[in-house]
Amino acid sequence: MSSIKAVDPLLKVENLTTRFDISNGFFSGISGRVHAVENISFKIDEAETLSLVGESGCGKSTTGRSILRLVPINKGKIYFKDKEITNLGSVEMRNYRKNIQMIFQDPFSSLNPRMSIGNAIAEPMKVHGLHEGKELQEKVYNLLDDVGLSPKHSKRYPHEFSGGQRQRICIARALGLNPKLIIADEAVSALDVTIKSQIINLMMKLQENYKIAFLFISHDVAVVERISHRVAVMYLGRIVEIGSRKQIFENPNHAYTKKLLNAVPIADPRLRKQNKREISNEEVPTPIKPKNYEPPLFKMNEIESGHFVYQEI
Amino acid sequence: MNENCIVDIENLRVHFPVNKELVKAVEGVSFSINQGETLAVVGESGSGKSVTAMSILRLNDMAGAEMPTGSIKLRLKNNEVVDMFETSEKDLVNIRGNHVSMIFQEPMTCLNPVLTVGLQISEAIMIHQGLNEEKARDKTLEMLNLVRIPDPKKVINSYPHHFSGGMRQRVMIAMALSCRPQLLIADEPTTALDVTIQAQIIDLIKLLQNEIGMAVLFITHDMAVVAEVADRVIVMKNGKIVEQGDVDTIFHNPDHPYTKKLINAVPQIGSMKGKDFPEMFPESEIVEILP
Repeated sequence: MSSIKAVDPLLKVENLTTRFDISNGFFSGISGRVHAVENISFKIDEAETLSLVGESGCGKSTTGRSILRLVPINKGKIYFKDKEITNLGSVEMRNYRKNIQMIFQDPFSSLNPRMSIGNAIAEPMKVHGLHEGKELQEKVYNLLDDVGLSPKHSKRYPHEFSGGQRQRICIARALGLNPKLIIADEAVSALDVTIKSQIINLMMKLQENYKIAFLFISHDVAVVERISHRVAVMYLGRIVEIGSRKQIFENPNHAYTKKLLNAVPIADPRLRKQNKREISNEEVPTPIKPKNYEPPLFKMNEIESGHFVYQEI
Repeated sequence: MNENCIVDIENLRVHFPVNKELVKAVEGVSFSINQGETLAVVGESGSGKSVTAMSILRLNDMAGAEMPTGSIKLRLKNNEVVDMFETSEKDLVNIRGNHVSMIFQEPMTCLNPVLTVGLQISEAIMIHQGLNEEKARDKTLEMLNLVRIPDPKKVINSYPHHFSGGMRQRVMIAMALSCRPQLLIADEPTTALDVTIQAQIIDLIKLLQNEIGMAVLFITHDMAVVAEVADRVIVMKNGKIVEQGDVDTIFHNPDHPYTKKLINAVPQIGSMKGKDFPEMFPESEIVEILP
């Protein structure tokens, strides 16, 4: 799958920085900034899954939102195929969002409770003028079929479905626009374990059939290991290590990556004793900084082909 | 009841009347917990694991449960055995937090936001052990030290919102263990935490269990966490126990098909070792029940 090196990557993010101002009230001005995403660069090829993994507050979701420009970005450039989309106006951007769809953690809150799921799936296609009338109906049925539901469900409402099924509906809705990239923001985190693996399998099947690329945002290291071609580890708004799945999991280099992998519980009681950790109470420091804070300079060392590790200079 | 048995539950049933229907949350559950052991109760959401645990402390009564049937026998610190269904509310207050204590998933909702954590920890100590304020404060400092909170002297005067999720859970543990209970019920104590913090809290609970010698009833939906903490495991589904056994048997020689499915479905870190491309999970046969 990495044979398509010569062409432009599907998505290229260069030096993306997203910060949020904190103000202490109407008159007092800005008192500090949340450095949510701090100078990160990566690319995603066609039909590739790049996972962003890290703990809460490390900026993984903000990265996803920045790519769709759902939050204003401070610095950096975002390219989709060969075109820069960083400065597109809202109308042009809407057209681009057709190509980049998003699935969220809680499917119930992203579905309108008073809209039948058939209509919910059809709506984005109507908005973008892709299909009409009978053809649209047909397309909705196909999508339901694609995600493992049946056309007879199209008249039902979100509350009639289980969590896993609702996530299938959200996936169907995203698929309707034939996106090239789907940003899955903790898409399986709220699901029970048996359902989780089914949804992951579904996403992988769809990737194979439709050549969709995924930006898979998750804190669940074990799931990330299954689904990813490449992995980026985020810590405090930065990518501290990025490389192929094999490189990250079998040859972790950055101290934080090692700590993260070591913290994941192993589902085998026989391996328990070999896995002794030091009792620690270290916490992730806050990304909130005073307003004149200058982030440290850094470089990404390439330790293997395609495997980069963050280093401050 | 057997000598080193702390809790003995027999044929427990807990039903909730909801819209004229009866939700049978727990349907005939029997198990016991021995001194110093960690029993993990595992199951998917709605399997009745939390309701079972709450019943031990009779916390369901207030949640509108019909009077549960069955029996729950509890051995107190002075070796006296009480039947929880025949204990008066006054005695229950004495048991809760003193002989058996509980920690929950979301520590922020369990802490009072307007009181300092020092006050909240010493409250239990003063009530159950009859210490005066000064002595309770010393004891509180000792507890904060025990759960490895840095700088206890400063922390004792802080409010819950000053803490991160992991630190709040440590405060909860300090509070729960302040009276050296026989049994700690931990209801999904690490579910809301990040994985590195989860590892810290699990390590801490295991360490304190050794230091204090209490039994732990660990409720979780995460099989990997079970593998880390448990001596024995109970697998629950739809309010019933489908299988129970020691942790090694459950993971390496499970009997019930549901247990097998649950274990096969666990995303295992390291399962993709040496592989170049992503792979699907082995297809599990569990089909979602369509409404």
